[in-house]
Amino acid sequence: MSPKWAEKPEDRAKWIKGAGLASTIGIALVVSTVIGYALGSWLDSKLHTAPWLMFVCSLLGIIAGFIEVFRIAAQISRDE
Amino acid sequence: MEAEASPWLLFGMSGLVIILLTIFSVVATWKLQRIPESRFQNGVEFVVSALNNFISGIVGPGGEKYTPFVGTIFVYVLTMNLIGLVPGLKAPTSGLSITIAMALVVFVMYNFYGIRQTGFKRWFMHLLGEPLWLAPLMFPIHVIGELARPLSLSIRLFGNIFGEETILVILAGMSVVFLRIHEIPVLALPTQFPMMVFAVFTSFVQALVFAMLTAIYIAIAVAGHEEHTTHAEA
Repeated sequence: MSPKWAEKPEDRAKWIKGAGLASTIGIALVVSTVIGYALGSWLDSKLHTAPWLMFVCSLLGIIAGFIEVFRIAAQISRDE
Repeated sequence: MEAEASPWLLFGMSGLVIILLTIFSVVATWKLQRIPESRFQNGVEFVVSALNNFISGIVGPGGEKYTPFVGTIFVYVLTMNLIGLVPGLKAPTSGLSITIAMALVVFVMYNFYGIRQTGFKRWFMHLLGEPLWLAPLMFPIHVIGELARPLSLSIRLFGNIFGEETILVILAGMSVVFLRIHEIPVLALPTQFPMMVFAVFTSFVQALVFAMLTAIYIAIAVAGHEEHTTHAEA
């Protein structure tokens, strides 16, 4: 017997979409933080404000990562 | 094989893949029949219709118009991953320069589709966020979130294919070292073979993931309105 999600083609597409989105959660959190840090360090080196913009942008990156995780989770639960 | 390949080698390999795929598609569409009798045309039509179903299943009704783009991405990435398994050749996707370029193409295209579908104003308002007075805070956060997508796409593909190739090299080298230490008069053993079989599978999965995420990002971008309601919930 095939599992419940694989019975209908539409269900399968939904399941694949959900799994694909869920697989991005981990990396989204890390990459957002790294982008924030890199952006802050670059701005610091240009504006000579080290290390303040690095702190601020890292914090924004962490928040962006969490918001991205919330968005992905909301998207998955809306598709179901 | 060096750990860090020259970018020109990767560009050359990628060009080779493009030439191969061009020849393949010219041959596949050379003498099209309305009711295909050749197995070749049947097989290619099967692949195209499978891609069509897959993409419209993710994007929703009307998603077929994105099949040319997402399907090309899938076939291109799959061929680039698999070409690394041919002895003497190297997978272009095992270098960051190629994967970043592909992710940037995807990034530009899904934003373009989003702007075309929902209009520039709505696309920009989405970047500003829901309560407008929070825009100075939400704008950089959304920009970082948007930039995270192409970066995570490229790093995922690069990491998987680079790791796969590195394991193949290590396994192949291990047999040579083992045989020399024990003074067995055999040049080398194909110890990397089981991993190569597995690499065919992972190459397919990575190409599928890349194409699927492209389709998902397009789906999210063209359904800009629903995204707003999601924000309110989140």
